[in-house]
Amino acid sequence: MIDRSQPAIEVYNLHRFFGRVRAVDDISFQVYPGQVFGFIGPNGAGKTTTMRILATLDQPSYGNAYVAGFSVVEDPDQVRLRLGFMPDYFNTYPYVNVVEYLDFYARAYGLRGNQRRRAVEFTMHFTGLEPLADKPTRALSKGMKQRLCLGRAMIHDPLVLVLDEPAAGLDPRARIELRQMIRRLAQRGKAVFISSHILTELAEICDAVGVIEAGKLRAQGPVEHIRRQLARGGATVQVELLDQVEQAVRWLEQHPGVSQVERGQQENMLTFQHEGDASERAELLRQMVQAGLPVVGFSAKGHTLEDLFLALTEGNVQ
Amino acid sequence: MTNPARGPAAPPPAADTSSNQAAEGRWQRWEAALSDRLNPILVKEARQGLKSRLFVFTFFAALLFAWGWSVLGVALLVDPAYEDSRAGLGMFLGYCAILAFPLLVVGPQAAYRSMVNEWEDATYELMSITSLEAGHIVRGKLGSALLQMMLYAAVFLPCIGFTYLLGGVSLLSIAVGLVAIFAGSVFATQLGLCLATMSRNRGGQMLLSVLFLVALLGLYWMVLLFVGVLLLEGGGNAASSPELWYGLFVTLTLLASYGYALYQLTRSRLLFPSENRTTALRLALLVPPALWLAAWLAAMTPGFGPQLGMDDELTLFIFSAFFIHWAAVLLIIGGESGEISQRMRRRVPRSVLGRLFGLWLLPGPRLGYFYVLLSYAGMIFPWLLVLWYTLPSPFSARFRPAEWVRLAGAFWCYLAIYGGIATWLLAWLRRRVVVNMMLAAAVISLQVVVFCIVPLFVEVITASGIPFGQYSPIHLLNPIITIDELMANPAGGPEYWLMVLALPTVVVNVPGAYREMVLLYRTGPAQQPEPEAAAKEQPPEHPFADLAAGTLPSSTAQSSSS
Ligand SMILES: Nc1ncnc2c1ncn2[C@@H]1O[C@H](COP(=O)(O)OP(=O)(O)OP(=O)(O)O)[C@@H](O)[C@H]1O
Ligand SMILES: [Mg+2]
Repeated sequence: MIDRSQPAIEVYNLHRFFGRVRAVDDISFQVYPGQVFGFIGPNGAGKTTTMRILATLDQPSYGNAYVAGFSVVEDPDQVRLRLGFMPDYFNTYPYVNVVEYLDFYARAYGLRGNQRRRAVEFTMHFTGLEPLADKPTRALSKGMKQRLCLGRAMIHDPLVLVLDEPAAGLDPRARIELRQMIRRLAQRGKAVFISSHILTELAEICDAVGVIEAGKLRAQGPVEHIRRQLARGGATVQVELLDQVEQAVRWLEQHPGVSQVERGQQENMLTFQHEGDASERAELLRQMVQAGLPVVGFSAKGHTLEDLFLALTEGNVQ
Repeated sequence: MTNPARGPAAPPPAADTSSNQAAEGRWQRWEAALSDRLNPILVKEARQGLKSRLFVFTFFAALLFAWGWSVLGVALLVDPAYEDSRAGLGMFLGYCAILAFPLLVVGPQAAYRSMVNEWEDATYELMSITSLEAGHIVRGKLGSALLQMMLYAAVFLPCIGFTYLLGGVSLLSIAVGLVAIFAGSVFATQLGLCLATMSRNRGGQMLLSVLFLVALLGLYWMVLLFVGVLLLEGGGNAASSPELWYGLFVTLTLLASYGYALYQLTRSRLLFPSENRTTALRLALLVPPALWLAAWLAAMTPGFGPQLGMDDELTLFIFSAFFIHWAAVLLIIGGESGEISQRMRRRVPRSVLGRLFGLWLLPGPRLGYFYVLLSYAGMIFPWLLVLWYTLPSPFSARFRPAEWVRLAGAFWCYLAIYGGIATWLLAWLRRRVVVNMMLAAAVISLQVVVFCIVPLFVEVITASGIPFGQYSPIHLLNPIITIDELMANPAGGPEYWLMVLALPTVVVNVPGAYREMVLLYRTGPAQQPEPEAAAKEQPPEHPFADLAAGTLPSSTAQSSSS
């Protein structure tokens, strides 16, 4: 049975240099079974490099990473048995159909007899590929290819799944289906490590995210936590009043969770920073109206992951 | 294991099951068991290889040719003018020519392509992180080539039987001809797989592919020529002579040993850099020279040798082959990256015996250099000494052990000199660039130019008045000219100078080899003590253990929460 108290993925001070390029520069994080950990970052940030090291396809220049307690440097064989990797490209063999493709990888992972049959059957069922069993793999649509790739990665029922941009190039429906599959995998106790450019994508399925840029983790933690962290840095609410601007300023300055109250460019406009989520803002607005302040307009600039992303990364390219 | 999901698959057959069904069930179970035992790559390659257009086309083309040739043969047979006992021989040679083309040219080239495609389609990476070891992959590819060969054999067997019935060709001749073709095919396939690992860029692959095709066509003609000469000389009846058996046995065992060495080379090039890429390969590389020596010793055996008419020519030939083998090994070792992973270091043998014999097999180009020198010397000189003292006098009058020692010693010196300089240079280069086999080949070629070609030019240009046929010391480092001189002139001379030159090239590599050894035995940063280490070594629970055998959950979402 899966021990959920032990981290499934542990990365400690991971470094990977390509000549002068520090593709991965001191990254540490942990992912527990049942968790989905999102990795977001711009192109060339080092996502793929980190994932390849975890998948034992590359070696760290310094630092170490563990999968289910096994080091990718010292015990790559043990790591491979417990990890499924879905790269950001699709590859297959000519003249091989969907079942044969999965069957080959099941054999390659040492599954025999009924065990193999069940693994292939379950994977086809899980990914919804059953109707396409006899279709040549080269003739699949992008969405179906991604399903097959995911199926291949999970064929040996690994504890850890490393998915490199699985949603790239998928239509909205396929994305939703993929998201559901990933959630179900997490429910089965898998630790899922997923990277993406589609940030809203990650917000909905990830328990935690890491924002990586130029090989460094700029922020990491639960999505909500990062949202709040960002909010502390300055989330702006704009209020338009009919009059009584002075009273409004005084009222707001005494209110907990509000800071940096300032007069706007227009005379009857105020801006301030507010900590808290939408419901707390609604409560604030209700109290302002109750206090007799003539509020005409109230708008808050919501914090999406895109904001977070843009705020944390500076567009550095290496 | 006590896992309920893994229990016996089939329920015990009900009492009233008909015997027919039982037999069918048994057959299916047998088939499943067989398919489980097969190499996964073999299963995959068989599935796609037999469906590939190239195979289908060649197979039917071969069938068509065989059929056409048979019709032609029958037409010739009924022609009374052509009715002589050699009809079978001609038929057989024709079938050989048809059969050899797919086996010696198309098959090996297809194996090469199939390996190269693993990189071009980026399928190799994902395969490499499964439980498949590099050796599985090579063996699987080889196995699928064997499978195709068997299909050809099955088709051509009736034709071959037909030629035998026609007469004019003996069973032995047929067997020798077929063995030559099949052995050649297996070897060429393995060579193709090995070449496919040599270059991972498109240009290099194209070049290798063309060179390989040319080599295969050459092999095709050589094998046909061999079969033709063998049969036509004996008039279709290869005589069962000691020479034939000796030649056949030596050729086949050598071919097998080189095939095995190529297999290990391919495997080592496929292994991850953190794995031990050298030990198995170096062990495999010991086999062919041992066989060369065994062949030589067999030819020296008093009762057997003179019968074969063995002479100094054979000795020179075998010693040269021995030398060339070790020179090639130096090339392979020179191309080693020289990096030793943390993981490797933990598995270094630590017992006294292990250190004594295992050290030379461990990764490290300079240790590899000494591996070559020691293996060469250890293999050949003890035998020479034994022969020196044990050969009966009439025998030793004809064969001169002293000459052999000079010959083997001179070759050893060449290995020491060329190899020593190359090893030293490559170690220097390794600090600056990534060294591979191409670079090692370039360094050795450079030496050949400087030591052999330049002196020839000097001699021609200065026209230094060396009378024709007289040995000049400027060719000391040219093995061909110097060995020729050694063989012709028993008075001696050059070998002492070679020894003088070999000494510094060996000595200069000693510190490097020592450093490599120290590095091997220095383990990395102390491992974190792992209390659960023993428990952890267990393989992961078998896949989808939480699902009941043979059933799929009606909804995966629900099943997963349990
Ligand atoms: N094999 C390599 N040799 C040299 N440089 C490399 C290699 N692989 C990656 N890099 C460099 O490392 C950096 C990180 O690359 P990586 O592929 O990990 O980024 P990424 O976050 O996956 O980007 P993307 O979103 O475009 O996939 C890049 O600057 C890249 O050029
Ligand atoms: Mg990437």
